[in-house]
Order: sequence, then C-alpha cells, then structure tokens
Amino acid sequence: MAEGTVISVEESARAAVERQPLVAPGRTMGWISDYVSSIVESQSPRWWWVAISITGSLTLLLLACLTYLVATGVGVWGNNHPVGWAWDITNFVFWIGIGHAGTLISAILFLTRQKWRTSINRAAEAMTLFAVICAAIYPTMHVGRVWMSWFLIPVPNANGIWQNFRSPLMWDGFAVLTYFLVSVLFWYTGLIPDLATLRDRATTKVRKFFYGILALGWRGGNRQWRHYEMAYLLLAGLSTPLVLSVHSVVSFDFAASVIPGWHTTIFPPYFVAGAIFGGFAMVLTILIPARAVYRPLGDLITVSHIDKMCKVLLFTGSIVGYAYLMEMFMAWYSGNPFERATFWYRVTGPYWWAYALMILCNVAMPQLLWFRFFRTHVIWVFVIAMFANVGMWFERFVIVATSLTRDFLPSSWGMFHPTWVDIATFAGTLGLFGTLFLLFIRFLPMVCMFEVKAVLPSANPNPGGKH
Amino acid sequence: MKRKLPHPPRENHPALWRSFAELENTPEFAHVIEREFPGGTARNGSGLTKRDFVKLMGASVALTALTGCRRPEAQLVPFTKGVEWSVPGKFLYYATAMPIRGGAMPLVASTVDGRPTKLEGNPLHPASNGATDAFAQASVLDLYDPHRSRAVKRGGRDVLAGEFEAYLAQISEKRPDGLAFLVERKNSPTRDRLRGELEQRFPGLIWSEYEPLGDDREAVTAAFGPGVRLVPKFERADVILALDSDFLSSASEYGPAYAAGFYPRRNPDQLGAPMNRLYVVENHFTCTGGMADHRYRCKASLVGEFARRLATRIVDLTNHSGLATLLGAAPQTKADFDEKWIAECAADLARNPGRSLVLAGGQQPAWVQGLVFSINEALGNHGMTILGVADEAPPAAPLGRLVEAIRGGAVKTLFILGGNPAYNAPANFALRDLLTRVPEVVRVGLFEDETSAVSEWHVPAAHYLEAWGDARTFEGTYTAIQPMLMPLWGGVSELEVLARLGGNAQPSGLELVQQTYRILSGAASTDPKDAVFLQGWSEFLRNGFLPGSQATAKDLAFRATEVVRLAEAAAPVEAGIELVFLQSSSVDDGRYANNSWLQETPDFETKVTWDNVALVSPATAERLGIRANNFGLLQKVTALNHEVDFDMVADLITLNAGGVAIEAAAIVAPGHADDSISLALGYGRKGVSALFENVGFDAYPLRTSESPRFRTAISVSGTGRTYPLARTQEHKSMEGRDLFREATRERYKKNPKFVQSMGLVDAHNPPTTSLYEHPRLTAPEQWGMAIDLNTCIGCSACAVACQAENNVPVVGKAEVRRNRDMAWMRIDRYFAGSPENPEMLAQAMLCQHCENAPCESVCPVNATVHSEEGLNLMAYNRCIGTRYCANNCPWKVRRFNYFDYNQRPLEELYWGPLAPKGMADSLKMVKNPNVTVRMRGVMEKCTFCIQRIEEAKISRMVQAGPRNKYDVPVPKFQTACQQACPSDAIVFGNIADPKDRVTRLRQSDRGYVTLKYLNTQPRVTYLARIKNPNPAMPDAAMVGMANGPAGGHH
Amino acid sequence: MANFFPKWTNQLPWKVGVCLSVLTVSIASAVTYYFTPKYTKVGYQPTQPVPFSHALHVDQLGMDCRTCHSFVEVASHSNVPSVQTCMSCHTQIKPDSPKLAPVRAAWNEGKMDGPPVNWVRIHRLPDYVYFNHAAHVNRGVSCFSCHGNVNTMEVVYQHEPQSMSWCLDCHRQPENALRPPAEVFNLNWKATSAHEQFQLGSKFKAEWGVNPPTDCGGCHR
Repeated sequence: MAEGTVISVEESARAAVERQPLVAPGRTMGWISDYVSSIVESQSPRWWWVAISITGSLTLLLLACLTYLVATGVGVWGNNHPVGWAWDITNFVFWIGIGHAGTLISAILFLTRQKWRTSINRAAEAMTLFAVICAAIYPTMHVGRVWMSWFLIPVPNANGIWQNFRSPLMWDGFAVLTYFLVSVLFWYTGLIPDLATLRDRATTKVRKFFYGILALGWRGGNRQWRHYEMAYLLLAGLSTPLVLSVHSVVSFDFAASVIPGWHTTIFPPYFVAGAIFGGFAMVLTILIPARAVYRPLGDLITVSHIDKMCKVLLFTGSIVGYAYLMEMFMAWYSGNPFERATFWYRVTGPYWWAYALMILCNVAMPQLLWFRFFRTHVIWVFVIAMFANVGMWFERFVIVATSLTRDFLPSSWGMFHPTWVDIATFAGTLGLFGTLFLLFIRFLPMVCMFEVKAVLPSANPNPGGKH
Repeated sequence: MKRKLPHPPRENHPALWRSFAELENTPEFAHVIEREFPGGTARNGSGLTKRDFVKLMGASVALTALTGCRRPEAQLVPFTKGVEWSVPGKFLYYATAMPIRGGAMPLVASTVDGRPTKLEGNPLHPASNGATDAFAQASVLDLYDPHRSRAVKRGGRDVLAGEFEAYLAQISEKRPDGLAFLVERKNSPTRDRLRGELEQRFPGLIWSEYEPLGDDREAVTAAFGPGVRLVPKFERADVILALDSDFLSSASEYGPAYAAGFYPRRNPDQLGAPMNRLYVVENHFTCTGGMADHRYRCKASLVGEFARRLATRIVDLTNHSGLATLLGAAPQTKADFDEKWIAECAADLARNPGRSLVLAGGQQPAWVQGLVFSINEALGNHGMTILGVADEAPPAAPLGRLVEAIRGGAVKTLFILGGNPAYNAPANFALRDLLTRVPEVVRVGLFEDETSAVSEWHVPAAHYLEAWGDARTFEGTYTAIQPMLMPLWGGVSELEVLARLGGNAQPSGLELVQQTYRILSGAASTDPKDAVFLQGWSEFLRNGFLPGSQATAKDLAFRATEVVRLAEAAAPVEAGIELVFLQSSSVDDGRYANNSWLQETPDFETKVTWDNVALVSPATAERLGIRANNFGLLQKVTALNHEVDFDMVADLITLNAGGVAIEAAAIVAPGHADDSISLALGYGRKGVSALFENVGFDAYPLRTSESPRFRTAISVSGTGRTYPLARTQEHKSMEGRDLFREATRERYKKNPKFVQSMGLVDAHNPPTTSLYEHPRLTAPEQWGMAIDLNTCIGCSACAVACQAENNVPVVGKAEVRRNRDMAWMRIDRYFAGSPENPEMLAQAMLCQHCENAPCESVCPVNATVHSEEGLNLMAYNRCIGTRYCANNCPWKVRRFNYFDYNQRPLEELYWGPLAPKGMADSLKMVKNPNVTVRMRGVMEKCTFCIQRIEEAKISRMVQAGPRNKYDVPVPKFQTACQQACPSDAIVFGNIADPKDRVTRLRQSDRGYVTLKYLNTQPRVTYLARIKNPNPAMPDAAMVGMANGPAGGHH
Repeated sequence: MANFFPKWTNQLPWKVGVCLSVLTVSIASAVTYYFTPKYTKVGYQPTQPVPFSHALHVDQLGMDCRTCHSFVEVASHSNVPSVQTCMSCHTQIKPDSPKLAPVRAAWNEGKMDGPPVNWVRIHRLPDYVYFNHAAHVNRGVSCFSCHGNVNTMEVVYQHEPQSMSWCLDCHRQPENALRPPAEVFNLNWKATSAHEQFQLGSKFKAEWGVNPPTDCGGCHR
C-alpha cells in the first residue's frame, strides 16, 4: 500500500506539531454510513469466498479431531506422565489471552475517554468473543470423560456431592463464563444503533426483517439515546474489572499449584499484561489486512490509531519482559534449589529453544516500536504483531508444558512430543476463529459508525474552540 | 477333555472339606469348574451355552439384551447346586507351591468362585518367610494366558486326547527300548518315585535334566561327594564375598527364604548381631551389587582368576595347605586387578574365620566353584556359615549325554516334559536339528513353541495351579502342590504322563501324590479310608508342607583331590571382549516371555521394558563407538543433563563369535565392567505368540555347553542402525536432591540424626507451617507406611504384586515409550558417584498419601479426597480426568488412563471405537473382584490396598456385632507390596498405635520423608540406607556418598 | 418510517414467549427428575421366572430371611438360594406345582444339571460400588432399611432409591436406622415413634461405636 505510506508519512510529520484528527480529513458522516454499510450490503468479493473456504475446512478438521479425541481417548494427543497438560491448556490460555484486547479497548478506553478507540472497538470486541469461543473448546474437551463433565456444574444430583470450590479450575470456569457473557452483552448493546442503520438502509425484505429484529426497535429517539448511553456506561463499568479478573483467575490454575515454575505469586499481573499484549497484537493482525482489503477504511483506522496501539504493545511487551526477568530473579533469590533448577532448565534445558523464541518475540521485537518508523509503517507493525502472536503462544507452552517435564523427582522427568492430532486441533481453532471473523465482517458493520461520527470535527458543537 | 478323578468316599470330617482334594473330586464340582471355562469346551465342541456359563459363574451377574437404554434387565443366576466352602464373593485360601529349579516356592493362593486370582507366600512354611518374587506373583497370569496351547497335536494335526492316552498305554505295554526323557529340573519326590518305577520297567532308559540357568550341582558333587546340597547361613555371616553371585535375587532359584537371613544382619540398629559387610565382585550391576558395601567390577570370565588371587592372599594369611596345593593346579590368567582391594578383602575374610562366607555364581566354571569351596574350607566356614544337607533327588544325566545318545541313534522315543530345549539348549548341541533325527518326540508344554515345532506330538501341559504335584524346598521340606481348578484347556501334568507310561491306565494326580506322602510321612496305614491317614493328609494340604521333613544335615567332607582335578582340567581364559549371559529379570530364561506383567516390569537396573539390551561400560562403549543416546551425559552423571527423552533409541550392534553372529541393542550401563558385554537370555523369539514378536534379542545362539555363563573372544561391530527402547526412567542422577539418603555406619554412629541434616531445603528451611488449619484426622486408625532403603534391593516383586492385586493394566511397548506406563508402585533407580563405578540406589516409590495432599485441593469435582484415616482416596466413578491432580503431584505417582487399556487390544488403541471391544474371558478371571477395573479417561494411583483395609475393618465389625467395635482389634492384614517383599523392607500399619511396628520405624533416627519442605505431610516414611565399609579398602572413601561428599548440607 | 415487519409478526412476541416458557419448564422438570434420587428405579417390579411369594413364605409360614439368603451375615453378597435349597422343601411340599416348573427343570430329578433359574435382578448397584451385607445386618441395620417390607410383597419390587445420596442420608444419621439386633430380620418391627427410634438409635450408635464411612473409600475401591 504505497500511497497509504505516503499519506502516513505526511501525517506523522504533521502530528509532530498538532494533534491529528481521528478520521482522515474530508470524510463526512454520510460517507461513513455509506461506506461501512456498503461492506455489508455489497456482494461477497471473491477473496472472501476463497478465505472462508479455507477457514471453513479447517473448522471441519477441528470437528473431526474432537470427535476422534472423544471417541478414542486423550491418548491421541501427546500428553503423558508427567506432562498431563500440554497443547490443550497452552492453547486455552493463548486464546483466552487474545480475548482481552476487545473488552479492554471498549470498556477501559471508553471510561478513560480515549476517543481513538471508536473506530477499532467493534472489530476488537468481535475478536474477543471469537477468541473466547475457541478457548472454551479446550478445557471442555481435554478432560478424560467429556460425557461426565456435567459433574462440574453445581446441579442437584443423586450422588449428593458438590464441586470442590477450592479448585482453581472451578474459579476458572466461572470467570471465563462471566467474562464471555458480559462481553456479549456489551458488544451487542454497542451494535444496536448501527443495526438500526443497516435496517433502515436495507433494500430486501429479508434484511429488513432480520436487522429489524436485531435492532430491537431502535428508533434513535432522545430517550433511547439517553438510556443507551447509561446502559453502555454501566456495562463498561461492569466489564472493566472482568478484564483484569479473568486472566488473573486463569493464572491461578498455575499459581495455586506446588510445581516449580507454576507456583508463583507474580502470575496474575504478569498474565494480564501478557494477555493485553497478545490481544492488541491480534487486533493489529486482523485490522491491518482488513484495512488493506477495504482501502478507505484507512481513513477511519488511521495510522495514528495503529501508532497508538503500537505504544500499548510496546508498553505491555516491556511489562512482560520485566516479568520474565523478575521470575528469574525470584527463582534465584528464593534460594530454593527446585525453583532454581526449573528456571535454569528453561534457559539451558531441552526446551531452551522455546524459551529463546519467547524472549525474542515478546521482549526483543516489540522494542523496535520505540521508533516511530516502525510504528507508522504498517508492514512492520504487522510483522512485529505476528512475532508477538507466536511469542505469546510459546510463553504459554513454556509455562504449562515445560515446567511439567522436569519437576521434583528426576526419576519421573519426561519430554512432551505433540501428535498430528495436537497440531490439527490447534489449526482447527485458528480456522474457527477465522471463519467467525469472516462472517462478522460480511454481516455486521466492522466499524462503529455512530461513534466514529461523534468524533468527526463536524460533530463538534463548537468548532472554533479547543477542548 | 473331561477328566474324572476317582474320589475317596466322603467322611463327614470338616477338616476334609477344607482340602481342595474332596472339593475337586465331587463330580459335580469337577463338572462345574471344567464347564466354567469356555475354552475347555470350545475344544471338544460340546454345546456349552451361555446359560451354563452364567450358571456356573455362580452369583455373578450377566447383562442380557437391553430392555431399554436406561434400564437394562439384569439376571441373578444362583448355583443350581451349592458348592461347599465357597461363599459368593468371599476368598478361599489354599496352600500350594510353585515348582522352581532349586525346589519350590511355598504359596497361598486366594481363590474366588473357584478361580485363583492372587498368590502370596506361605508364612507357615519353614522354607518361606511369607514372601514371593516377581515371577511367582506373575505366574497366575500365565495360568489364564489365552495363548496357551489347547489341543493335543500329532504331526501338526489336532487329535483327541484319547489318542495320546492310547499311545502312552501302548508304549507302556510294548516296552520299546530307546526311551528317553528330557525334563526340567525340579525336586519332586513323586516324579522321582515314578521315574524309579519307569527305570525298572524300561531298562536303559535315559533320564536327562536340563536347565539353561544351571546351578553348582556338578561342582558340589565333585567337592563333597554325591547326595549333598549346600545351604548358606547368611544370618551367621559377618563378612560375605559374592563372586559373580546374585544371591539376593535367588528367589527364582531357591525361594525367598534362601537369603532371608541376610537382611536382619543389615540392620544397624539391631543390638547383639553386628551389621554384616558385603563384598561383591561382578561384571554388571545386580541387586546384590547394589547392596554391596564394596563392589569390584570384574569380567565374569576373570572371576576365577580373581578368586585365585584372593586365595593366594588367604593362603598367606592362613597357611592352609589344601588351598595352597589347589592354587598350584589352578590356571593362571593375565589380569591387572586392584591388588590392595583383594588384599584387604582377603584380610577381612581371614579376620573372621567361621563367620565369613564366600559365594560363587552357580554358573561359573566348576573349578571356580571348587576354588571357592576350598577358600571357605580354609576359612573354616563349612559347618558354620555353610551347612550341608542331604539331597534326596537322584542324579540325572546332563543334556550332553542325551545328545550323544541321540547322535548315536540310541534314542527312539523322546519325551520332553516342560522346558523348551529346542530354543534354549546350548548352541553347540544344535538340538533343534538333532530332534528331527529322533523318530518320535513327545512334547508336553504350556505353549506351542520352538520345541513343539520339531516334535511329533504336542500335548498341552497343565499349569502348576491346575494339577497335583509335590516338591522339596531348597532345605528339603516336603511341600504340597495343590491344583486350584481343573485344567482350563485340558492340559495334562507330567506326573500323569509318567504314571501312564508306568502302566497306570487311569492315573489321578491326587493318588500319585498321596502315595508319595504315605511313604514320606511314614503313615502306618496305606488305606485311603483310614481316618488317621486322612487327618494327616488334610493337615499336610492345609499347611502346605509336612512338618519336620527337612533334609537331614550332612557334615561336609571336603575332597580336595577332586577339586584339584577340576582345576587341572580348566584352561586359562582367552583375552578380548566377553559376552555374559544373564538371567532376565523379566522373563527368567524365556519361560515367562508371554507374560505381559513381567514384560512391562522395568528391569531393576536399566529400567527397560519389553526388551533385553546389551549392557556395556562407558569406556568400552566409547572404544567400540557405541553412541547410546545418553552416552555423552554419562561423563557427568551428577551434572545437569538433558538426556530425558522417551523417544529413546539405542545403537544396534553385532556380536560375533565362532562364525555365529547375533544382533542386540546396546546401552551404556554405569558400573559395568570394561571389555564385557551383558545380555539377558530368553528374548528374541519369533513366530510363537503375538507377545513374542519383535521383543528383544536372542542370546542363546552364542551360548555353548562349555561355559554357560560367558563367551570370550567376542568381536563387536556396529550396524549403523538403531533400535527403539521403552524405558520408564532414563535419568540417572538424583541431581543432588537427597530423595534417597544414605551414610556410612561410622557417620551414623557419630550423628544418628544425620538424615535430618540432608535434603537441600528440608535441612535449611524453618519448619513450614500452613496458614490454613486442616481438620484434624480423628479416626483411631491412621494408616501409614515405612520403607527401609537399607534392605530394599529393588527386585520389583512389590511392583508386580501391586499389579496383580489392583488390576493395573498393561499398556504395551509403544505406550511405555510415550511415558504412559500405569505402574502404581515403581522402583526409582539412581546412580551416584563416577559413571565408571557408581553406587546404585533403588527407591520404591508410590502414592505418599500426604495429609495436605496437593492433588486433593485442585480436583474440581472432589474425585480425590482425604479419608478420616489419612488415606488419599481416589473415586474413579467421580473422576472426569482433568489430570490437574497428576500435574500437581510432586512425586508424579498418579497414573491416567489415556486409552481403554482394559477394553481394546493394545496394538489397536488408536483405532478407538473401530477396534474390537472387550477382553478374553480367561483374562477377566485373573482380575481381583474387590478392585474396580478402571475405564479410559480416569486417574488412578496407589490406594494403600484400601480393599484389604476395608475388608479387615468390616470383618472386625462383623466380629463385634452388637458390641463396641473399638473393643475388637482390626484383624492383621498386609498391603500387597508389603506381603510380597522378600526383604521385609515395606512395613504398613496404624501410625496412631504407638505399639505398631510402623510407628516405631517412623520415629526411628533413620526415618525421613521426601520433599519435606513442601509440608504435604506424607504418610510414607523412608529409612535411610547405612553402608558398612571397611576403612582399609581403597574405595572406602567413596562408599555411602550418594548424597555428595559433604553427605548433604549442614 | 417504513414498516420493517410483515403483519403476522405482530403475533410473534407472545408466541415466542410461550415457546420459551414451555422450554424452560420442561428443561427444569427434566433436570429435577433425572438428577435427583427419585429417578432411580423405585417400584421396579419385573415378573420373575418363578412367581415366588415372599408374603407367603415369610409372613404366613414365618420363615426367616436367612433360611434362603444364608450368607447374608458372613458375606458381602446376600446370596440367592440355590435350587437345592428350594427343593429341600419342595420335594415334599407341592412337588409338582406348575409354578415350580423352572426350578424342577434345573433340579432334574436331583441331577441338578438342568437349565438354571434366571431370576430377574431388582436391586442393582454399579460395579464400582462395594456394598457389604454382613457389615450392615450384624450392626443393627435391618433388611427393611434398604428393601422395605419384602415380607409382605407378593412380587418383590424396589422400595428404596438406593442412590448415593440415599445411602449417605443414613450414613450421616445412622441413628434413624439402627434397631435392636434381635429385630434386624424382623421386618415388621417398628419403633413406636420417630422420637423413640432416634433415642434407641443414638444409644446403639454410642454403645457399638457406629460411625459409618462418609468418605469415598467406604464404598468405592
């Protein structure tokens, strides 16, 4: 996108002296509605069909793998003694982590009046939901007797026994479900006005009908707007703590154990930071291509947006790096030989390469973002974001699997080797994620139209005055 | 094949009914049992309907066609005819014995609904300490092995058993000459008696015995005259030198009681008897070598030379003339030993005349044995630490003589009863081809194997739990072998075959043994109706032995001249690399090759399952360019290393001698002698049974009759190919973690509490306290265990016993390679010291039953919880299989069912529902009915044999009735591992009872718990190992240093 | 504004409402039914191959449970009597009643090799449950507690749910079930009042040191 870069260079030059607009100059409210809706209203382009046929078949592969898993036994994965959790929980934490950026952008940035969130929050939130769906697959399917997993639900039963609420797995289940529920509500509430717009613009009966139902009779009256704002504010307030809680609770799965490398109090903040890092990386990974395909979107999701996201990436990436250091330090400082050994193995052990990769992707690469050059050249941003995605997966692998390969008794040390089913299942969830997102951009407005309009200069009641 | 046994008229004598004899002889019951097993009838094609089967399974429940998916209609089918003494769901215990090479292993068999499910030692028996070994524990699985042969075959065709009986009858009356027998070595008076009768009936009959793993009989006969057998008295020995003799794992040879006297003398806390000292000279690590205070690596072929050098020193010290003359005759070989080692060892022996004991491995050349006898003679040990007893077993022709006879065409009809000579006879006899020259070979065996292939007749043999028999134990006690059930697949016992040949048309094993019993017990009346006789007989069966029937003592008249003759006949040893033939810790000499329990039991040293491997020392491996994948790391065994990988492959090497070459996978074994290669026998069999395929390497082709123990001048070359191995533990170093703790006797004396100062964090951290106050465990019984590392030799008897008791599934080589073995009880093996000459540490590891169990707090569904009695419980039916508990277990003793091991064939695990479901009926019968058979997807682990605990508690309640149950003591019981342990290393009991033995052990100075600092409060206490080095020895400084030179931190 | 919905959609809201409420109610009731002890097959009363009447044998003839279920006091199983047991009387009494045909077939003039009598099982616990009759009947828990008034049943049916929570109810409050040892096999015995039962039970509980296991190991091994 040569000319894209040209623009961005000028912009960044200007940005040095004055605060830049959140939408490229010359874009009117009407244009925004027309363009964003047109993405949904026009025929599906060929690339879309190609893409969804790929992701769709991966999704089918996922179904096949899960069927095989349940019909045959967890042994079709590489898990073993001592590595009881491997790719299954690694992927779970990976996806849950990704599921953070969305709500963070919508809720926290909303409460902190970060106007630049407007053009990206819709897509980010959608991504959140899809990631959480992918994540939920693993804890559900990785158990030995899936058909018995209703034991996890506190319902009255003939056995007269209840769940063990001391178990972090229980907390985990509740945390993730709550997070998912609130995120869905939050996302949907934010959609309503735009759904109404689509409804009003709809030409066919069917579209009218369905968008009509989804719009829940939105008329855009004053009272509706007043209620809407209040509801949205409340939901934002409700989901803000969840953003922090959900991954903290996920980290308890490990922090509450006794295994060296798991048993650490630093995990909650460390995991949350990592999650935001990974989440933003994934937002970029998705939006940059979208922006490339639908060129004009570049005027809404401008380079300055990307630049801001890069700063978040840099910040959280550095926190993560600090956490890695601190882990090492604590292991040494604790004087506990088991802790020390575990972290020593991480660096020098048979899985040194995973650890090195993790450091490279999560700590080294993001440092490039100190330079405006890398922040403003979307290609580079994309590359760095991809690194971050890979790095975050390896972070989870290093924590979950490699800690188990060598714990207390050398007699029961053992390596983990993934099977083709492990790999295919993970690829499958990627496919599912992609499919859902492709469907999303086809049928729902990718950008929150009414909020973007609100940040147009023309929406400013007193254009002259600075505020 | 229905066998009707003549049945003595019934007496209304309760004792009689205890004996299985009458039970079996009630025709109904015979009918019951025989029909119980589908195999038996499937063969003779009688219409055995499912109904009969169900009927005979007693009160067991059979699911019939589902009447609805939620309410299948089940049926409850009682016995039509009640069976005396069998109470549905209650165990019946019968005394019996397992025939072994050196005699018999006294056993008590637990049977339920007429089928044996578990074997234990017979504590009443004078030749048993109530223990067993891994082979005995697993032999019950052989009984139900669906691969056992079921049909009588002649020339490869199935024939009716009647034809064989007719054939025997015809021989016995035609009395053809050229009759010969080749049998396993046993010590069965009845067999000897029948043999005597046959020798009169068939003059010139050749009676030959062959065992691949022979013993010292030849040398003993030479040195002390015929009819004598040596019985070492370990309890009297202060200093023991074992020359290539693994006497601690001799249970498979003589029974567990043989070496039992050794262990009490290892106890440093025992007053009176001082702790003994053990010197071991061997080429590879044996259990005995692991226990040694001083171990010297020496090629097996040079052990003779070593003994000679030792003898010279002893002559210097004792001036014993006899020994001196012998030394003149003994062959000399060039070898450089650590002369100081020899000198000091000799001095120590000489310091303890009459209280020392020198042993040579049974398979060492006769002259070495003789030399060792004369050393003992010189030390005055004969009659002190070595006793002589009469050996009633008449001598038999060695295999060599039979072979000559066959070559000479003198043998027309050869009966091979048991054994598998075509596979395991010395290679130089080429027996397999030779047998084809014998007109008629009749083979009676459990399996259709190599020998059956070259035999005219193959006749299924009866398992020892299926047929009457008797035996003498190693010290001569007359012992009963009772059948537990009718032959599943119509096997015949060798006694019956012999009797038929002797002209007995309808032999009954029962009567044959009864006759012998009459003779030996000197019963006045020989009348089967005689009440007195029957009284004694039922006593005999109930106790399993004839009291006071030990062999008479014989004082040992040492015949020096004979020994000198042996020595003169011997030649010096060739130099070069030697190949040493070992007894496999899994398949013995190959007889257990089809036993999946044993195949999956890791070798005590290498931890290899499902294979035998060639062991080489680090130096030799380097020289031969054998790069076993963990070789580089052996250079620094105690350093951090990265060898942990279950995708273990080993180099394939070729061993070549005298134009014969075999292949074997080689791995590097710490502590192995240089220029020496050890390979276990009994593997590498092809095309005999599913389990045999691609399992290990056959060493027999290189084994000759001249030296059964080793083959010298082997040329070794690599093949460039590798071979996959399944090891349950690759890591060798303890990583300085002090899980296993030991010290020398001196240090222990100086600082009795030394264990407390060991353990990296344990020693330093202030006592950890928990913020959360756990609910007190209030029950009056609090179960706990103590494991004495000082006597645990790592023999794995406990592990197999656990597998038998708790229905632990077998997963197969492929899954073991993926680290998915299911063992509840495992033996962790570490090496400490230099890779060339380390110490070997064996530590029995099982669920520690922590009071603050990390596994319990993390289970989301409360599937694993704590009991009032301190047990860490596992409810399979509640478990959903998150595996969180296993991850959080610091000892990694929890095992997850990754597949449906009980329901699917092991080679088709990955086919899931496409694989056939269910297991062979006969294999269902071996399952312990009191333990749930786990399905896929659930976690399992050691339960401290909760089924036995509950059984005991319930019987107390029943006993108490309407009284306070706490006034009634809990009946004595043992866990399976404790009961099997031959060295009494495992003690289980109520730690809340101050008088209980386990309580005292837990409080002993040597007691410690592993990973104490985690504050999980384990219920398993380990007792540190104490070594008793001789300070004068060159390697004294290295002994007892498993925890590093500092011996832990201070 | 244009109307987005066709006319028929006016009816939609309440239709949807009805469907949803019906769905909710059915799910709720299904869960309560299947997930609570009541679901386990109380009242299950299959027809048996032999119309054996406990009412006749126990109530009228006054036979004791242990006459036929002879091992109940020593074994975990309470055995179903062998054909031998039946015929020990029925060779004299009603030797040729048509009702006894299956029993006679199994008996087969004393040869006892006929087709066995396939009683239909009523009380069935899963394989992973290890219930022990001896432990209960020897300690003052009556047959009645788990099997109801079998003595008055013409055809036996399941009287109690025998679900885990049902077991636990009693294991947590044994005093509600304990009775004088003499009355264990007397299914008609009843304490005069719930209060008396409680007092009696508490007394026995204290005297006999009764503390039934409430952790998994008691029944699952």
